[in-house]
Amino acid sequence: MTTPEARAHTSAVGAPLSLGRNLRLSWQLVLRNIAFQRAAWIAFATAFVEPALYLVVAIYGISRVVADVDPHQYLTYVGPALVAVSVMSGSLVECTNNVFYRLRLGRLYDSIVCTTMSPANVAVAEMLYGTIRGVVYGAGFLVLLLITETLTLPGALLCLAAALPIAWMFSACGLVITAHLTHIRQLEVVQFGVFAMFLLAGTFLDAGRDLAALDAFILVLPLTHANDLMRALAVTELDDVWAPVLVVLGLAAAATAAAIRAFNRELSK
Amino acid sequence: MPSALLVTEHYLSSLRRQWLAAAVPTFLQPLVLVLVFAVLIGRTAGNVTLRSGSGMEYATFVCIGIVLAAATSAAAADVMDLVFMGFNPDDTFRSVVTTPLSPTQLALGVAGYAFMRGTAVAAILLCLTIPILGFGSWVLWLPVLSILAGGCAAALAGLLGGVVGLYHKTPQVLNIASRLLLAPLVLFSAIFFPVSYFPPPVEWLVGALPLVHAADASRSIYEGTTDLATLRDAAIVGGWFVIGTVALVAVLRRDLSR
Repeated sequence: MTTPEARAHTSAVGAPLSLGRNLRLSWQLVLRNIAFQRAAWIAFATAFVEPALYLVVAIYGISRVVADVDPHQYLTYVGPALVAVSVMSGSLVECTNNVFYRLRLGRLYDSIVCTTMSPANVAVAEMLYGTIRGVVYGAGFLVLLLITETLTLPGALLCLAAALPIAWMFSACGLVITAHLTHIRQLEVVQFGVFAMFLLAGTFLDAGRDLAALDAFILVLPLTHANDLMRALAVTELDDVWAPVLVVLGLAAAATAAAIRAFNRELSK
Repeated sequence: MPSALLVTEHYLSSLRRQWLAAAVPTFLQPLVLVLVFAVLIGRTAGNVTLRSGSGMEYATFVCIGIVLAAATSAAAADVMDLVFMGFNPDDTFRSVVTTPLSPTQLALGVAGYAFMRGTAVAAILLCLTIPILGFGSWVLWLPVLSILAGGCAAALAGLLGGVVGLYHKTPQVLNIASRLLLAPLVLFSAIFFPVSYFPPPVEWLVGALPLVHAADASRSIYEGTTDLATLRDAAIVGGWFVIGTVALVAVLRRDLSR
């Protein structure tokens, strides 16, 4: 009997599938997810609300608490980071919660890998969809920042371009984590981790970097580098971009390989 | 009333079986908030002015707020879940009302559970944040603060449970209700900064939220500056508790009588 893993690179007649054919197969699952999401559009749309609320809170409250700075000045600091947070939330919600339901509860992927699709196709498809979702949320938030004149158009376009690798990185990381979850309650631990990262990665203030004990930990967080990248691009400081870009792309590539491997293992059992 | 306590006891014992899973979001999340806002941001932030006009260290201000918000969120989210589960997947509420328990007793039992959950979370978090709030006077204000938090949590839980009871359809709706109701409630309720920082119309609107009054009253009690305004805040929290409970009773009676 052919295992799903063995089917990864072969067609129905046993010939290896080309990269293009594999991507087309993955795209079918992306289209299925989009069709499903259209039926649940309210849940999709409400995810825009939370980062917008954080923005209001940052403008009126935290800017005054932190250093009594001009709210608009603080907004240019916190706005790009909130774009990164939006991208992260969109990608991670899709690749942790929703993928967990399909993987463990609905057992959707078990049915899918009985077709010509392989576990690797499934992993790539979910990564693609998570990336699309993250970029859509990021784009929505960028529009908000453009309306409030927090960002210039060139800065916003650069941030939109950066949303793609950031969303890819978080989608791939989300899939790796989800493949290792066995119980629905573990999702709460993941959500807690995301929440802690959101607060500690310098979204509102780089306060943690003054403390040596926290500094090393903060540097390990992927969101720290996503925030740095967004902030540098928002003010078109391209010299500061390369280090975070390398970290984001490196982590995305490593997590992609790990996610495909984990899905091959999980769906070949 | 003793019959309603049976419902409360049932939910408390089920919570005991899942305490580890419940502890992560309930306690660790607020402690990270305390670390970031009270410890890290609190080092550079100055004093904030309370509604009474007196000043308070930002670390203390935000710490008390986070404790209240955590207690409220824990109880409200929990009751939303259990009202949803009670109606939807297994329809346990209908089974319960085939016993001598009435929908009113069921609702009072759920409200009692919310109150106890809120109070317990507030009390434990207050003990955990003693290094920031100080040990000196906590014995005096801890019970009062806990009861305020518990009352506030129960009030909200009753209301939110009622909303879910009215509109429950799918887990997605539950998620949306939770996201759209709890996040603004916590963010706009003078937890992280005083409501006076908002523009006047927004300040007037958020002034109606129960958590704002619970936070104001708690901070006054902590400062030892209780006056008529503190009593008024406590009365508003109590009023919300009654409204929440009545809403839950009405929803359960209506839905379970069909």
